[in-house]
Amino acid sequence: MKLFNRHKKEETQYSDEELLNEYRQSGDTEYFGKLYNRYIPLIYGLCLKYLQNEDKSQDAVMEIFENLLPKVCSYDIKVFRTWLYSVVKNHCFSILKENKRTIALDFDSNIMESDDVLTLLVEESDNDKEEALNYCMAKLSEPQRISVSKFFYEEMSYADIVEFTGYDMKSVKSYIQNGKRNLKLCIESRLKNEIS
Amino acid sequence: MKFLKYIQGNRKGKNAHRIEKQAMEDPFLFEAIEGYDSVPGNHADRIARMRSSITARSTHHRAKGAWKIAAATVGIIAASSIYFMMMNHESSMLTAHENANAQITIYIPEEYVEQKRLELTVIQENNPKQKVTLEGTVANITNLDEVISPIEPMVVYLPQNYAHIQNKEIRVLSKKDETLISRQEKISKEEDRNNNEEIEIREVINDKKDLVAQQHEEDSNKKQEVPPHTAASSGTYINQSSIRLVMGTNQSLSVLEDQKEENKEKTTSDRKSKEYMAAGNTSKIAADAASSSAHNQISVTLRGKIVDENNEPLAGASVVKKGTNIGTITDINGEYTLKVAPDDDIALTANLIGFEPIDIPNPTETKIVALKESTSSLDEIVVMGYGSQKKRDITGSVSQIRNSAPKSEKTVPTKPEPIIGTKEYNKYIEKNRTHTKTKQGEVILRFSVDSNGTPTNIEISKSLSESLDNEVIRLLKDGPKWKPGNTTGELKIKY
Repeated sequence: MKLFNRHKKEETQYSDEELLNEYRQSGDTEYFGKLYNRYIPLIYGLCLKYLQNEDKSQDAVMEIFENLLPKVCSYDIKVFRTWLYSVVKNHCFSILKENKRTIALDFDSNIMESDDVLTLLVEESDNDKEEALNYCMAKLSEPQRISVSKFFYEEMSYADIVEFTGYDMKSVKSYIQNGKRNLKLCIESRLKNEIS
Repeated sequence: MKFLKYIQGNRKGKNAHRIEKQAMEDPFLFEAIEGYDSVPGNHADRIARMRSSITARSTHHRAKGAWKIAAATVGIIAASSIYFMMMNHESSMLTAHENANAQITIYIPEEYVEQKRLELTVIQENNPKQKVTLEGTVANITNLDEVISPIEPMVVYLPQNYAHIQNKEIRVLSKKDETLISRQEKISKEEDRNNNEEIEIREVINDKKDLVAQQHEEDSNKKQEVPPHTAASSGTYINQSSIRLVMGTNQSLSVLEDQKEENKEKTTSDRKSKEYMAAGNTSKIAADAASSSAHNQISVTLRGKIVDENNEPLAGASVVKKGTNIGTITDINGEYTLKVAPDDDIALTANLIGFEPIDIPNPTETKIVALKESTSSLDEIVVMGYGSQKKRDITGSVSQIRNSAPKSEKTVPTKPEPIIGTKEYNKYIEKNRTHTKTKQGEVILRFSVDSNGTPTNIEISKSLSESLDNEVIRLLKDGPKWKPGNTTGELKIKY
């Protein structure tokens, strides 16, 4: 019975790294299966992005699992999520390479904004920054300002904003992306000016 | 899973917003969403399927949870009940008998009995003239006394349209039954008193087995399709919808009138010889006979031919009964022969790599099946191994040979050359070299060329004298630059 209880616990409460540790210590593939299952939606989505084919992506998901199952223990993994991300990405790239297909790299999507602006927008901060933020928000173009404020202040999803504003989905995404970038630049320069 | 809902297009509200905001910081999530957005399809369905196969793959080696044990138990019970039914399992009876108090309770689904009854009816209707041999009956066994002396007389069921033809046989049969029963009663009493008389039981078993065996002979000789034992009794017992067990040892035998005499003769003569057999063997033989007769009883042979669109026979195509793993492969002429149980629908599926699989819904009539060439070409087939691995093997590290050895560029060895060309270089040498008459021979230098074109690592491969060697080294070092190659360069000066 003890065993069963432990299994129940692990489903929800074990962290990725704990599950990995359990697998490493017991060699019980079930643990890794559970862990991998958590990430299937992400892995499959990532494969879809690069392989652009449902069947190939599904095969890739299974392949990666079979590859990792025997080897995963030998890696020193600090954060499983980011590690897995690069593993999956590399796997997809190697598949594309084998097929000698050119990869359409979307550089925009690979640029992740630093957290500064995000935290600024989300959390309360000191007066200077708050002031700078308000100033810069006002300087944004209208669609950018609306999209950013709806997204960050009113917690609307992209689809919500599309419905609310009538912009199309792609523009909403780029308004938010560019708005964020503009905000960041603007705030940085403004804070610098004030100090100097 | 909120993310699953998001993938499926449920993108409004705070949950969706939260995922989108998370995606801003998490490239994994971000790109996954991009992937789902770029390829349409039923992603949730796929994910569910992959999850279950991962679960299956990672847990197959260990039964977990009580339900699995329960399922296994049900499976064992079902299997053993069919086994008992089909095999007239005498050996178990004997074992149970030895244990005296053993109780055997076996469940046989009503559907099975009903199905057998239908089969029997069909066979009779198709061949009204064919004599159908009935054997076996149903008994509810709670203790072994009942097995040996049943509480109720055995009853044989025959469908109405057949019963009147066979009245005679039934009467004979019940007589025979009675004799059997009385003998068994006698035996059981005797045995209670004296175990040494066991041999008598064996004799009786032999007796019956001979009959079984003989029936089997008849079956194979005449190629009759003889219904299974249960059919005989279903009429009686289905009404009560109670679940009983077929007893091979207590067969009530309806033997054809004309063969009865012969049977008796054979039985008596056979018995003598078979009495010498060991007790263990007897039950086994009986079981064998019963099993093979059961096999003959319920199988239909399907023949056909698989061809391609140009009517060329296809060898090696698999022909499988739908929903089972019963199947065969076509021979070099594209022909197959498959024995299957005559179920209601014996649909087959034909499969060959490079062709579209095809269903054969009515294989008893379909003789030639054409496969259509698959539009997806062969090179698109990906072979994936989801094979099982022993736990022992995966706890250690399994090394995998990957075909990713650094791709050594196929390089032709190129020697370093003077940048100005060999001819010009020779001119330079001639102009600057010294001549001596004290020594005859040659100096050979080996060297490599660095990225600046300067000779380095100069070695004297062939020496003449120290001064001359140094002279040549000086010539090389101060001379024009070299084009680097991937082997060592060589400079030869004759004196």
